[in-house]
Amino acid sequence: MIRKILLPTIFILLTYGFWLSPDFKVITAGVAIFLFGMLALEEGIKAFTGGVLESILRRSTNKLWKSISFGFFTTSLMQSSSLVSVITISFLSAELITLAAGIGIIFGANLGTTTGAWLIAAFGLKVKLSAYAMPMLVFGVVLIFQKLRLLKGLGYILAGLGFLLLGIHYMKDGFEAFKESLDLAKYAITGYPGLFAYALIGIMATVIMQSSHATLVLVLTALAVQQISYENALALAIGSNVGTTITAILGAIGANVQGRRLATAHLVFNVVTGLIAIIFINQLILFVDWIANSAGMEKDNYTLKLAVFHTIFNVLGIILMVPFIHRLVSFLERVIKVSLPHVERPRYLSQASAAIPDAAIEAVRKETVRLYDMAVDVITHGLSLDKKIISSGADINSIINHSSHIRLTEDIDEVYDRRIKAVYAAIVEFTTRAQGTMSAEQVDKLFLYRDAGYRIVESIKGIKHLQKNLKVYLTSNNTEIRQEYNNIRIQICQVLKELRILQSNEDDSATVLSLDQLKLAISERDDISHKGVDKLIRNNHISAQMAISLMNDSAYCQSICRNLLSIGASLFVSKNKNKRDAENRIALDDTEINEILTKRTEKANG
Amino acid sequence: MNIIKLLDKLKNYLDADRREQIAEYDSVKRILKKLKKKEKALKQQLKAEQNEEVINQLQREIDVIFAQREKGINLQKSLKEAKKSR
Repeated sequence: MIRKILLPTIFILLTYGFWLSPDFKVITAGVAIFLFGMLALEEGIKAFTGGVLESILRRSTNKLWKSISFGFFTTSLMQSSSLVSVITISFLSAELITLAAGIGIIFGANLGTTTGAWLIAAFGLKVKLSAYAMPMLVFGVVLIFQKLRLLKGLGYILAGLGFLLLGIHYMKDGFEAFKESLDLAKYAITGYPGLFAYALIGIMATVIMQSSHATLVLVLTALAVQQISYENALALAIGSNVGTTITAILGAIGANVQGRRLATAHLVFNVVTGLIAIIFINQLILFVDWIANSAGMEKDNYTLKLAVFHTIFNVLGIILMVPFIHRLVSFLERVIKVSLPHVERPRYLSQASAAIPDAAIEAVRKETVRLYDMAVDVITHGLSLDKKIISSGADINSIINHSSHIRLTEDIDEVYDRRIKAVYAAIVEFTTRAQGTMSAEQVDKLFLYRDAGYRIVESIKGIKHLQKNLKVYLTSNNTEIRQEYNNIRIQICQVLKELRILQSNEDDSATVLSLDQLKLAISERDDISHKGVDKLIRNNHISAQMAISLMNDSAYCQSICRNLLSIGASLFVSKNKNKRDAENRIALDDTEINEILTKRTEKANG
Repeated sequence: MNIIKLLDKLKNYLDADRREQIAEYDSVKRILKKLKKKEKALKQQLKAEQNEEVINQLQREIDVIFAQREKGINLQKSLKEAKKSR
């Protein structure tokens, strides 16, 4: 219920906000552009996965000191810890680095961001990255239109970074109005309450301005005009360090669980470091003064002192947090859990039955039958049919030929991974374990079922291939090609129907022997469809391209039907051993089927 | 029941392979009987059918059953011979 109303509620609130404040519109647009940039960045990084990037990243982050250095140098170079943390989240989401390495990079980025304070102190310089957004977007989009995968990937990365910077720029623009109301002198409180209050203001100012550098500039200006005390300025710097994590938190919205873990680690690190710095502020001030004196700095050169303080408290944070990095990883893994999709589990394969050969065989048979039932669901959906069609007495030909509603929405890959693969993997594992105590005859039987499982998987793969063209041709205006694809659906459906009769044991006369006539029908259809395709091309009813698709898909259909028949012959045989053996000996092999086919063709040709 | 028949029964009872052979022979016999019945029914159906597609399908089934019966009869013969030779 809540889920259903959540999205409309968000939409209504946003619309109301847009109507209420133009600044809010700019801010939210900034967030949206930023998140879109994250998606593009991840897409781009994925293009480089598969070798070089992984090995570079692995080599540069395989040790903690390396990942910290990596974070430090990249942040010093880019002059934005936010951007580095967001890119790190992207790397982590694409599973290019480990969480521990990601945390190392974040620690390094925190240290790297202090170079910004030094730059401000030394040159009053502030690198404005947003100026690069537009060219990045232009170059990025041009590259996205290229065919080469790597160029395309590079395009996505550039466009992603461009959108990130543009998003940050819009957020800053939107908050510009709020900035005016930031009167730092208003909250002048002494002692620890004052420190906490200013740290909070520092957090808010950085969140608003989307830049810890901008906050530092604001702090220095306020300090220069004696608007705030030195201690309060330090508290503001601490707050700005915590506030800068907002970008990573925003970035984590579009990321996977690993990305969220990293953003939380970033927050934890900066909050803990900030708290320690506030608690030991007096000691830190003394230490900063000592360094300033030793380095020959002027007593009232607060800009340099602030840079020293910024560096010291970040180094202190790293020294204190590094020993706990693995604990932090396990804590985050415990708290932020991966929400796994519902994966089908085996129902009959138990540890106890594996030890008793006959029980194990029966368990594998039952599980394979269950796997087959699941596969029938997938196959019928894959053919845009209702499963009931194979259990009802309805005429398959007429239903399929007259159905105009085609719905092929199921993601076969997803269903395969979630349901089929999991159960089949359990069967394979179970049969491997169970065969240890079995006789050769029992092992053969076990492998017969395992082979049936393999054929089930193959049938689903066949349907997946078939579905691609079914989507196109079942809704085509060309009646000939539509009919051909309907014939494919009919044939698979007829096999499923026959197997269902065999499985349900309703009809006493239906035995494995009944499958022989289907084998013949499939071979006949193969023969006819090859000749039919020639005729359709000759008469200009279908294009050569359609013909190729049809020939390929007829081959898939053949393979699916043969696999299904083989599954039926393994799973739905008589329980009576003598009857089963006799049926198997009377059942026709491929050569015998071909002999009948030849005779029938000769007879038909007169 | 004469003594030879009784001895034959005892022999069958004591020899597991032979017992299995007999069971298989009986199964084949039963299957052939069913197939024959099915073939007959299909032929009747074929006579009454007008739809060409259904006729083709019925004929296909009859052809397959015919081949299965042929194979089954040969199997039955070989099982009978094997049974006699023991």
